[in-house]
Amino acid sequence: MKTILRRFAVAIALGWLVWHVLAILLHQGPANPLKSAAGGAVKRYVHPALIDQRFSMFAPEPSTSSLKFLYRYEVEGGAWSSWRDAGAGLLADHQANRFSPKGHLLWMHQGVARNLVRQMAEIDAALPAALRGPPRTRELHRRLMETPDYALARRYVSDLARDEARRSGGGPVCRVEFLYAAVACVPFSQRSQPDAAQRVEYVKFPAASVFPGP
Amino acid sequence: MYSPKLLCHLRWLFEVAGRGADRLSEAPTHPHTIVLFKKATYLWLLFVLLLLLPAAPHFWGPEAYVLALPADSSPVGSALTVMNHPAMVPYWPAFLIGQFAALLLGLSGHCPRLAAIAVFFFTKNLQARGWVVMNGGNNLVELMLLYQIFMAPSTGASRRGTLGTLNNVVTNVAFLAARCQLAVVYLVSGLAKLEGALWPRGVALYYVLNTDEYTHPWGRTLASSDLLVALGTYGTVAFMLAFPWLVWFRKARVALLPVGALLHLNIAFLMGLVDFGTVMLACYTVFFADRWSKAVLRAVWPTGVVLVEAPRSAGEQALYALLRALDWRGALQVTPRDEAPPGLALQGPSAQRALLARLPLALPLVGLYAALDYVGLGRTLARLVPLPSECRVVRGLLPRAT
Repeated sequence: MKTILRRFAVAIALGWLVWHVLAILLHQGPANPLKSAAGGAVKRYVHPALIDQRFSMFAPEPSTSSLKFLYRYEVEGGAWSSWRDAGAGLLADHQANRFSPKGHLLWMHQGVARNLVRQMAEIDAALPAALRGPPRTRELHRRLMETPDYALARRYVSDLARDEARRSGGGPVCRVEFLYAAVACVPFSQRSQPDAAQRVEYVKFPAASVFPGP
Repeated sequence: MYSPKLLCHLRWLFEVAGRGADRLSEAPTHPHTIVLFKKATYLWLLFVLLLLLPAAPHFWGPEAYVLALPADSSPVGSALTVMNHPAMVPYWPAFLIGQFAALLLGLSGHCPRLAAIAVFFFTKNLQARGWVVMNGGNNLVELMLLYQIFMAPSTGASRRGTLGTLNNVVTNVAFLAARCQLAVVYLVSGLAKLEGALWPRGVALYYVLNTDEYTHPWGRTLASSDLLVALGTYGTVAFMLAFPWLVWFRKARVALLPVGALLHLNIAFLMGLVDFGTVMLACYTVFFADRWSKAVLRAVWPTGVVLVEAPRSAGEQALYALLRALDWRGALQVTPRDEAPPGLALQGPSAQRALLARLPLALPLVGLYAALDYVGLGRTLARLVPLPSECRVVRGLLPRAT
């Protein structure tokens, strides 16, 4: 291959590399004049299916609270169980042995809750501002219960509840209820105060009949 | 009109650029590093696949607790999310088997381009289906696999000519892109941390190590020391901001990579993000100097066998023909006695006859060692339980990439 052509090929390839690195930097970087100018081209270039650069890759701000997804169930006869945390066992197993799928099962367990909360926030934002109080909550729950995220959470919790009821010798499960809780870490500034309490925020989801299963 | 000095500088600049362009087009600049980088990535994917296998139906099965995202509508996207299509859901084990086969093909060194495309296809599909349990490490490995498709560091005669030159250019630039990608990850991450509230105040590590899902009982002990928290927090940010610049200097890299390895081992075991922590280590191999990679490859995947004397009798020739048929990678050579490297030579026809007699016995054992070789444990086992010489010969002929 002639030297001139070879060098031309190298120049083209390096030109692409410079554009590629610039594009992914602009895609992830904060707003700036260059990003505004080239935003459209960058967005088209950073193809979501091929070179998507999700923010999780860059390990952003750490979480300041532990996520819990609790459930309880009602057995035939009307008795509700206490709230159970299926994530606690997964977490303990994951901390005892890092080479098991328990960590991923824990992310999955939390993912069910996280997606449900996100869905709820989206529905809430779409509701008219004039709708307030109990009617708003009722409408929010009604719409939430129609979403695939809720159906998935219901199926997941139903399976957990059935297993738990079977193990503890309880009767057939007829209803399940679940909640998302964020248990905040003790703030750094209060870490040495013996009476510092952990703040807990929770979102309770509407109860549902158990998802049919074995 | 033009200063002679300026012209002189311009000429020098063109000469340097020309030399650089020639270097990028003449041959792959880091052939061994590319092989090691690919193998490290494939080993990581194999590790994650085996890690998740016991709970695979929960992530990928028809009853998975993960909502299938709608399949991408673009032609490329739809191929890479085909597993999300409702009609494909029952066939999820085929994707796991496909991934396993593609990884073994990639690790064996055969059809590197095909293996890279297959690994990319199956990885993208599996990660798109089980998206809830995927993290930044999975995102990074998808990008690296894409770059690896374009890396083919063959230096054989078939790579000469126009196509060979283009292959060299594409390989070298894809390799540079992979290096830049890792640098960009650290740069963006470091800058994002500076913009946050917790990292600049030096307390981010305290919160990380006190969040149940990202800690370990030992982590909470470490988080009780203010000094360690501040050092760990600022040290992480300093490392992330320094990496994109210093890693391009070979001397700095020698110190930088072990520090990074320590940081990511902490992420893997203290924070429990085993896949994220270890994928960064696998990606570090892209910054290895080619001679480091060559040494690592030789240590983990030793090279073939040399026959010191040419086969003479009909039996020896038949054996030789059989061995040549097994020898996909050209590991078998016939060399005069004084040119034979120590340790790899099969001495004389008697050894060949012995090998022929015991071949049926040797092959199963060799198969076991070869299988372990694929996951990087063959050499370790060979140290513990030395193979008989005839097994070593056959093992040396099995496909391996160097």
